[in-house]
Amino acid sequence: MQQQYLSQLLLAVVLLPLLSATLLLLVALFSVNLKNLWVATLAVAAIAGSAICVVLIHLQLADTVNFSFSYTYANWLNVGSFSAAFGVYLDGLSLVMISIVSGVGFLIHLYSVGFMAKDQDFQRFFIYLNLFVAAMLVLVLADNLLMLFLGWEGVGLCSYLLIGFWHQKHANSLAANKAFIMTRIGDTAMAIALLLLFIQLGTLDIQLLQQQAVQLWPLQNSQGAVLDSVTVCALLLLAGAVGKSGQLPLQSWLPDAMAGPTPVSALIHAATMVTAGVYLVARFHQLFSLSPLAMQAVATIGAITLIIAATAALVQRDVKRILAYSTISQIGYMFLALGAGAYSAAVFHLMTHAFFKALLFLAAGALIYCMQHQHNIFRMGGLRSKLPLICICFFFGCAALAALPLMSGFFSKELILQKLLDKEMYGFWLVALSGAFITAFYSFRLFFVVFFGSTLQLPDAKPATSMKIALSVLVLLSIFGGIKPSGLAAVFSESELASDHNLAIVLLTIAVPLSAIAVCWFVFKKQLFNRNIKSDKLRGLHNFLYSGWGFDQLYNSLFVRPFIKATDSNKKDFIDSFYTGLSKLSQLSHHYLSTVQNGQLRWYSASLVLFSIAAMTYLLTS
Amino acid sequence: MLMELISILLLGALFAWISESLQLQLPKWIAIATLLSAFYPLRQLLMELDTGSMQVWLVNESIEWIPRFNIRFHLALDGLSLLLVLLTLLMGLIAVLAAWKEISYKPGFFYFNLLCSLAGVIGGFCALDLFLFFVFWEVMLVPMYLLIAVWGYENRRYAAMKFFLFTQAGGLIMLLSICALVLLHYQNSGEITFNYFALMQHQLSDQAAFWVMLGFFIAFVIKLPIVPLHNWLPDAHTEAPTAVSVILAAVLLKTGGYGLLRFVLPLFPEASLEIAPVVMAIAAISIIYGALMAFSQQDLKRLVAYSSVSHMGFVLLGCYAFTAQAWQGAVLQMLAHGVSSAALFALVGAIQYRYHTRDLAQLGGLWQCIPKLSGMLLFFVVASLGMPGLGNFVAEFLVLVGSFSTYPKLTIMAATGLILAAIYSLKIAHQTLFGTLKLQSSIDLDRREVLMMLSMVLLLLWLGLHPQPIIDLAQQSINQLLVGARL
Repeated sequence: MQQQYLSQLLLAVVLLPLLSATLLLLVALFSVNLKNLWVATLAVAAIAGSAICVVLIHLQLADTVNFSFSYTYANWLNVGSFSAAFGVYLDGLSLVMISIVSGVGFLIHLYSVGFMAKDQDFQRFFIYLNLFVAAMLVLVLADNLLMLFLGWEGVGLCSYLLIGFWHQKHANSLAANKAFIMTRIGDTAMAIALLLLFIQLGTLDIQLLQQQAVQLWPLQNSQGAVLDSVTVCALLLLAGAVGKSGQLPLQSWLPDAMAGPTPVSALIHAATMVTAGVYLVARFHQLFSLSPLAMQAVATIGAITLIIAATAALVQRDVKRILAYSTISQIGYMFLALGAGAYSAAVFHLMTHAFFKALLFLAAGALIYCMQHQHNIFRMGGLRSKLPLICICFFFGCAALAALPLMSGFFSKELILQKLLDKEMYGFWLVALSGAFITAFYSFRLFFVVFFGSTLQLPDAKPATSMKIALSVLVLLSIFGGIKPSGLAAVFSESELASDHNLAIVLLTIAVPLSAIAVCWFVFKKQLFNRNIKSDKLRGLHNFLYSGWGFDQLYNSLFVRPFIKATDSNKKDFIDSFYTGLSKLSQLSHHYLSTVQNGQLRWYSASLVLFSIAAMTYLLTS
Repeated sequence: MLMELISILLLGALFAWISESLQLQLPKWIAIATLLSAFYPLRQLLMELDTGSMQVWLVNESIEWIPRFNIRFHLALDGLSLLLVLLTLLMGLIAVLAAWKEISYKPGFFYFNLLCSLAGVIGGFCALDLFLFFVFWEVMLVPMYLLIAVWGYENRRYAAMKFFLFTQAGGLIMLLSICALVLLHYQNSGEITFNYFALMQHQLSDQAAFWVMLGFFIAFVIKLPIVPLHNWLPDAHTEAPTAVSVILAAVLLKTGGYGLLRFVLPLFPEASLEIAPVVMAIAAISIIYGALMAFSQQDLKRLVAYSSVSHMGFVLLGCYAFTAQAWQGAVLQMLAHGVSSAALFALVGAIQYRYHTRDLAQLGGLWQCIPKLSGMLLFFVVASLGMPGLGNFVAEFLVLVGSFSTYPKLTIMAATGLILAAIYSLKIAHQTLFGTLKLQSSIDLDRREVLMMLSMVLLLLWLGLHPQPIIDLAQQSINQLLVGARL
């Protein structure tokens, strides 16, 4: 009974946004004009319905601590030994994910109603956004890898469509292409992982596959780490995760993805899609745990990305780019935690990050909305009294991002740091701690520059009501959302017992961001931000950081330009020259042979004689 | 029922031609009616499909034709043939709809040729007498030549001639192989026959099998086409009128894949298995080379044509991996690519009709004035880059799954084609749909075009989300292949 009820609820969770998107699409295709109000009602109601279903699921599972539920709705394809179905798998992890996706997704839909109200393409926006939510839900609920891949590529497509939403601008379309192609590189690696896993283990069912992997591939010690099957599979999956989550070396698409409307940045490029990589690794934690080398790789990628992105965020001027780099950096934290085997800490941080980063992006969107599309923080200032609500939003968002005590971000980040110490990964711990310093610094740099100092430009609009509601709810979530979901530890079979908190360490993790804010305030007061840099070396460093450590230039000269040049050089298809050569040759021989047929008797008799002589010589000599 | 089917098409073709003298609008209506009524002989078969138990051969018809050489008019239908016949009829409808407004010069003769070539293709998909197969092979070729040479664009003569020479060269090599095969069989058994089953029983010596097989193989991979025998395709596509491009991409190329599955693999299983590693390498190269060439093109039609080369590489890859998954993938790829490339060519044709150019440099920002057409184009671009949920992905994925265990390296090479497919496909969207608007025209898709496109959207979704009925239908034919290859 409960099984059936749950399966119907889960189906509704996924299908509601999908149906709404399809309906809106068909309406547009047959040129039926729909008022914005109706479009908004349908789209928002669909997500609200999803969110309500998720709440019902929570209620249903409230008493059970360690649950896992799977259900197959329909067969997808079945060829010989290969089969895949449309099935869902619900456990603590996927429950957290669908809660974030439908909950934050609902708030962002609501916000968008106000934010996009004046846009011509209101309907198209909500079609894409609904479709995205549906695909994301498929991704996190899938019980087999092929269906997960369906959602995986689906969210990638929606991300592409929404980054290039304002398609009139050439640059936006380029950014969309960049995002799609860079993630496609990771996705292809992941597709190869699918093939490899199927060939080796004979199934694509995620749970079954991992059980078999545990039996088939015994754990190896890290000293003798070689590229065995499990490591190769894990690394290929990691490549997919890295692409989607904007981690090194496939991170450079994410800052450009800010070309999309701000609610999109909040939903896709902060709260949900970009964390799909974290979800993937967490989902395959049994597989990853089998390979110390892969775990090492996850942690290292996380740590390096964390620092690169945080330092790049220090010098950005565009408010959205600051937040984009910050997202990359925070996902770095999650990867670091995953690599340390602290899966539930990673997912916990994923959750709190979804709250406060969605808040920050939406607040940034409201800011841009009110400031005539101004993105540059140095053209703003002193907005504290002019835009009090947005100021409050930014304060709590930044505080949570900087992990100030009692904010949601504090609990998750502190947990990650604690786990790193528990696992005796002191180097990584140091990196994470210095990352925390930089994070607090850049987030309050943003806050001070925009809301303190002298007023440069006056706001000309007020955020719409729907925007205010969404922002208020997210403020509350950012402050009080730091409660670790109870089902997580069971999923990863981690012990619930808290390790002893060393008071000194806790104080240190509190002191680091506070000191960063103090330094930041000092620098701000001295008006050192946005100064013209005199020294060449310093300016070089600034430009290096500003460009996100020069990855774009590197990839352009290493891959993009050679690729274009190579394909361009063979535009005419050199193979064709063989065939044109053949036709030239026959034309030429036609030309010469036809000159022989000139109708003159002496030519003919001469050739007759010559041929006879040649033939006779041949016959006599052979 | 298959003879009825082919006669309906040929009769319809004649009527269309004659009706031209009465009224210029008449031929296209006759063509539509002909294609619709062509489903009539198949009605019983289609009704019984879900219920009845499946045999290999659903229909088998054979009458005497040239008794002296024991040549029979032998038509038969199994799951594979049925799928391709249905594809041919459906895409024939799409082609007629695509030609609706475009063809005004001698429409009767145009539809005559179109229907004749479709009849040839369907005959080819059903013929089980090798001589008959060859006849149909030629029947589809000549009308196609005329279609390109008469109704094509600027450089049509050259393109038509190139198309004709390539295909004819392949056809002659195949004829040679057919004759050799029949003669070898005659020497062995004292009986002249062109019968498929009789020839399949016959054991050739290894060397003879290799050479005879090669003749068939070359003919079919020219049609497919495969690098380095692909050069007729970009020219033919670029110069052909829209409807002909649709037929060419959707149906004609599939005769190559069909030929491999129907003739080369069952008639010469050992020889095929022997050359499989080489063919797999060629297929992988074809996928990558086609994709790279597609990216460098400036002409939209040429770009799509080269993408066909890349996609058909997956068919070849699937054919020679010798696993059930890969063969199913190859069949699905033929169907999915048939639909998606037909749609792409129809849309490119629609753009050309409105803007009189296919040059990517001159197009741009189309979404701003014709959003429906743009949305559709985007959908099929996304389909062609292998989006899960659409037919092309399922097909390509099955091919890769089937090939991976035996040829891991080549499969990984082929998989990079997925990245390249994204690169050239997004180039189409980027250059035509987005950015600043360069040419003005505000005629969006009309009802006819929307319905035509929507039907193809649904087909691709069906292939991508619920391919099982098709897989089941093709399963019997693939089992035969497995038995033949003794796997």
